[in-house]
This record gives sequence, structure tokens and C-alpha cells, in this order.
Amino acid sequence: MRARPAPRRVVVTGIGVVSPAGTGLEAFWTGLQTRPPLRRQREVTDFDVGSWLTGKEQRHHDRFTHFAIAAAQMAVEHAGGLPAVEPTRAGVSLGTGIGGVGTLETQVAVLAERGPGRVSPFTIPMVMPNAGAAAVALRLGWQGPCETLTTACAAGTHSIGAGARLIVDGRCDLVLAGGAESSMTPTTVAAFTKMTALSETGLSRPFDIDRDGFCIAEGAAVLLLEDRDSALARGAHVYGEVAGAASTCDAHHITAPSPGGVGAAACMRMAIDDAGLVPADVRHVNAHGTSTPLNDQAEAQAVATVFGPGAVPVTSIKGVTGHGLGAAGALEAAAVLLSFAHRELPPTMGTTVVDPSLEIDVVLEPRAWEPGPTVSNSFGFGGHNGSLVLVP
Amino acid sequence: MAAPDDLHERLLALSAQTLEVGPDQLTAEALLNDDLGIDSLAAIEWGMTIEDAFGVVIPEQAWVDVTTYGAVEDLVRRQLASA
Repeated sequence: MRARPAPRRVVVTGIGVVSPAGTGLEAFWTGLQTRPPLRRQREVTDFDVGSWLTGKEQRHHDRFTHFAIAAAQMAVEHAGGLPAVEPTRAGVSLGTGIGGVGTLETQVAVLAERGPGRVSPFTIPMVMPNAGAAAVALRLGWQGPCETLTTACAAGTHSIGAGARLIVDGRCDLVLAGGAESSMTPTTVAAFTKMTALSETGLSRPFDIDRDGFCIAEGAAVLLLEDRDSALARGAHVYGEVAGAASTCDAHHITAPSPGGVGAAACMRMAIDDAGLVPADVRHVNAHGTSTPLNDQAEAQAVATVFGPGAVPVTSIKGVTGHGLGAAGALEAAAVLLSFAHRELPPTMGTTVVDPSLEIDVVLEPRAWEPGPTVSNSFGFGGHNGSLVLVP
Repeated sequence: MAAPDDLHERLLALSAQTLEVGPDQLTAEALLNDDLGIDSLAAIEWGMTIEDAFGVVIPEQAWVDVTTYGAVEDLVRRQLASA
């Protein structure tokens, strides 16, 4: 592989969001300040699929791809349209946790009830996890790298890191990066329930003393990433910079985090170093904060290890959004970018009494702040760790 | 078995709905791919709706030689006749 040109910097010039907290940036930001009803399954309720896809397109794409297409289109529209780009230098990096499992489940039932002759010929291109990325590239005619990372609940964060790297390395000039998920099926819900991962109460309350599991959710977020110099030259509005990213694996257990959060701590340190910063420069941690006993304990230990006990404000938007699995990291990156624009940290909704064994400063009410470097974490089954450093 | 005229009308209505095209576009000469935007997967899916509506079986391979809407109608008639 040939030597690369000098590294470039990556900025975000457009954001698109489909989420249980709201679809579109205004609804999403307002939603993050609003206490949601108690629900262990958090569906997107304000998504008008007909605004984005024809009836035929809807039938031929799984719901997670509907979300991916809409979020990508929103990001482009939010950026005020696309700058001229050579199609082979425009890429898509879109993660998902479980892809089109809802379509697979439907077709399994068709097979059982009506036989193989009635299984849809669109099953495979709807179920495959890369369907969302492919649909976005197809719609825009983008011919550069179009890839899907499936690192469970870290996929959204990893995909933004990987997408940014395509610009840093000089391979692409524009990248749509993020995550999409819609995998709340009877089987997946039963399986997560059987693992005791889901909240019994339907109250997502990250870092709370009484937290009892996550609330499964769906959604998508996509960021339009650009080379910083090109974006500034064309006068684009810049929402923030993807300054650093890291990816590691615990190699400890297929679902449980490594004790003490050592894997998460190492990942955060690598991302901060990748951004050319030190932990003392970081002003906010957007936590994975799922509301499960194990994740929140390990992550809090990791944050306290890297930054010092209570040294940096920590938020988790999952109190509102629930856990969007492969979309989560992308939704949270979008929330961080909006917190730069609004100069406010959104509250960790649902949490009332922070677990006293956790040595972190959990933001419980909206908090005004001077926007600064933010670490956004995602951790996935498989021991996958992902951290981004976003800078205003 | 449906009478020929009835079949023509029923297939037209079903196809227009399934393919999301106007019935006036479904001429005998209309090319499936170039005129109607039907790729091979969409054709097989369309065939499944025809099978359900008319109670016939159209083998996936039968679509290989079919390029026009008229040929599809002929195919359905043949399958009905041989059923």
C-alpha cells in the first residue's frame, strides 16, 4: 500500500437523525430534554417513511434501511446540499448491530406457514447488514468505499471513526457516516430478556443506584464528513470536528466488560491521543451509559481512571433514547454536536440517585457549558470498544 | 379458469398495483426492464402475486425469456392452460 499524503482534518457539515427522542434535529434536541414514558421498547413514533421512500422502495427495504436513507438525506439537506464531488471519492460508512433481522423473522414465518415458494426474492438484499450503506450509496450515485461495520452496540461509533479515517488518509473527500438499527423483533426482545439485559421496569436510568437494564430502541443518525480545508473554503457551516477515534477489544468475555473497565479506559486514552490531546483537555464524556448494572459500573470506573474521580461531566442520552444498538453511537455523536451548538449538556434523563459507588459527575439537569473536546463512548457485545473525540 | 378477457383485465389491475405503474403503461410491447423498471427480483416478486391471484405456478426460470408485458400475459395464459 502506497504512502499516504499528509493527514487531513475532518469536520461535520451536516447531521441527520431518526430517533425515539424525535426525528430531525429540532425534535431530537427537544426530546433529549423531555422525560419519556416508561417503555422497555422505545420505537420511533414520528417517522413518516412516505416522505423518504416510495411504496415500492419501502417494500424492498427493511425498516433499518428506511432509517438509514432518511438520516443520510437529512444530513445532506442539513448541509444545504452537496458540494461537487468526484463519485469515486465519496464514501459511505454505516454501521448496524443486527441489520434486517425483522425481515428475516417475517420470512422465517412465511417459510414455515406457506413453504419456500413464498419466501420473498428480496429477503437477502433486505436482511444483509450492508443494505443500509448500499441503499445510501445507490441513491446518491457515490462510488467510493461503501462499508458496514457490525460491532454490535459499538458499530455507530466505529463507523464514524472509520469514515473519518477515509478523509484523513486522503481516500475520500466526502463521507456519510453513522449507524442505523431497527431490530426490536419478538425473538430479539425475548433473547435480550432471557439474558436479563433488558429493564424490567421500562425505566432507562444510566448510572442510577436502581438501574435494572437497558430499554431496547431503534433509529439512525448519519453525519456528513468533509475535509476541513475544503469545507471552510466553500463557506460550509461546521458543527464540529472528528478529531480522534480509537477501537479496541476487551478479549475478556463475549458479553461482560473487562473488570474495572480497563478495556474502555485504554480505548478512551487512545482516542484522546489520536486527537493530539491529553485527558485534562477533555470537557465532557458522552457515555455509553446503557443503564445495565455491569456496563455502567465498568464505564464509570474507566472514566474515573482516565480523568480522575468526578473530574469531567458525564451524560448519557439513553435515559431518553433507550439503547439503539448499532445506531446508538451515531445518535450520541449527533447529540454531542448539538450540545456544542446549544452550549448546553443534555440531562441524563431517568436517573435520580447516582450509584454512590461510581466516582463520576453525572449530569442530571441541563447544564450550561463552554463547549470543549468531548469523548463519546460505545461498547458492544464481543468486547468491542469505540471512542470518538469530537471538538467544537 | 378465468375467461381471456377477464384475465387480461385482472392481470392489468393486479400488475398496475403491484408494480406501481399506470395501467396505460402496461402495453403488450412494454419492456419490463427499460420501460417499466422491473429488474429480475421485482419480476419474481410480481410473479408471486400473480401465482397467488390466479392459482398458477410460474417457475422462476420462466422469467428468463420474458422481456415484455405481453409475454408475461401469454405466460400466465399458458400456465393456466397447462394447470
